[in-house]
Amino acid sequence: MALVATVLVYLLATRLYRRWPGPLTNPVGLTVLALILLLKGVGYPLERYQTETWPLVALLKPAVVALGWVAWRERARLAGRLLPFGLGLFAGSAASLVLTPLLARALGAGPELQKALALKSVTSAVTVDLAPRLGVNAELAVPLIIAAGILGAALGPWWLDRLGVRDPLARGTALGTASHGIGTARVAEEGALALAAAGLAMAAAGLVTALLAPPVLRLLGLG
Amino acid sequence: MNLALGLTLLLGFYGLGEGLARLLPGLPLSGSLWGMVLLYLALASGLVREELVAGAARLVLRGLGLYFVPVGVGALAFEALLREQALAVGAALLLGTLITLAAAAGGARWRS
Repeated sequence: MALVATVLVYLLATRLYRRWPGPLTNPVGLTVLALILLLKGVGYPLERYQTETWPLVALLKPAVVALGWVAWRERARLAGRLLPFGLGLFAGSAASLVLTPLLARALGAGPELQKALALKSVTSAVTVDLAPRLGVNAELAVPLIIAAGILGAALGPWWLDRLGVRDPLARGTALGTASHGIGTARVAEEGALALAAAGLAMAAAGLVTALLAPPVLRLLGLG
Repeated sequence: MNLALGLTLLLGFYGLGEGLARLLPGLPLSGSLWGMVLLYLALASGLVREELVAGAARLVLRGLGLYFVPVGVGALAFEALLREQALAVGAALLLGTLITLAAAAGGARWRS
């Protein structure tokens, strides 16, 4: 029942997105929002909802493995530009991992939220498996990651214009690193090189963050 | 036929990844992330030809957005926390995203 409802709402949201494509009509964001309102509206217990929808979440594991294929394919398209790509990926992932929790702390958010925000630039699919290994709550992190993806995809192109970033490789790397899948979808309109950089960044940012997170979280007193 | 083989390969790499994650608990990579790395290495080394996995990979990635919806809905359990800290979280997300974009774009434009 919950599983069927989730798939139906998602299909509906996908149709909405096709009619009005853009970060604000992102089907994942819309579906999560609609289901939260629906569950609250009919008083459906969250635990029961999650038990009934676990098969969907189980599919994430082979999907994350398949990102290895995406990374391999896009890497071939970045021939000769791998060094700047790698530097951008590393700088963006590190800045996100260190500065987002510190910003949240300065603004008065507690340690649990700071930790969840540290994974802001890891794609949700990777987060589900990765978060528990880092002592982060995936259910708190994933909605924040979706919000970060929508924000970055909505404002990213404007922000990069303002910063004078015109190079498609730099734009793709930035949007893929900061906004994962939603940013990658947005970058599709900026050409093949930008799209390849974004796709590779989406897959690789999770890996870079996973490797950097344990020492960084410890240094921030969140480990 | 090819699709079944591709799906089997994806699951096989996931299984290998899960095994590695258990063998190397000191490294923070999860089983699926290890699987991703192993598939990448297998393709890059020519051990696995792309045609074998491309179809299956496309298939499992088609519904990627749908698969983590239930996890996102789990935010409901944190409603009170998120409401209470909405301003801090929103501002950290917005500023953090702008900083991440600037840092990544800056890094990618660096020339030696």
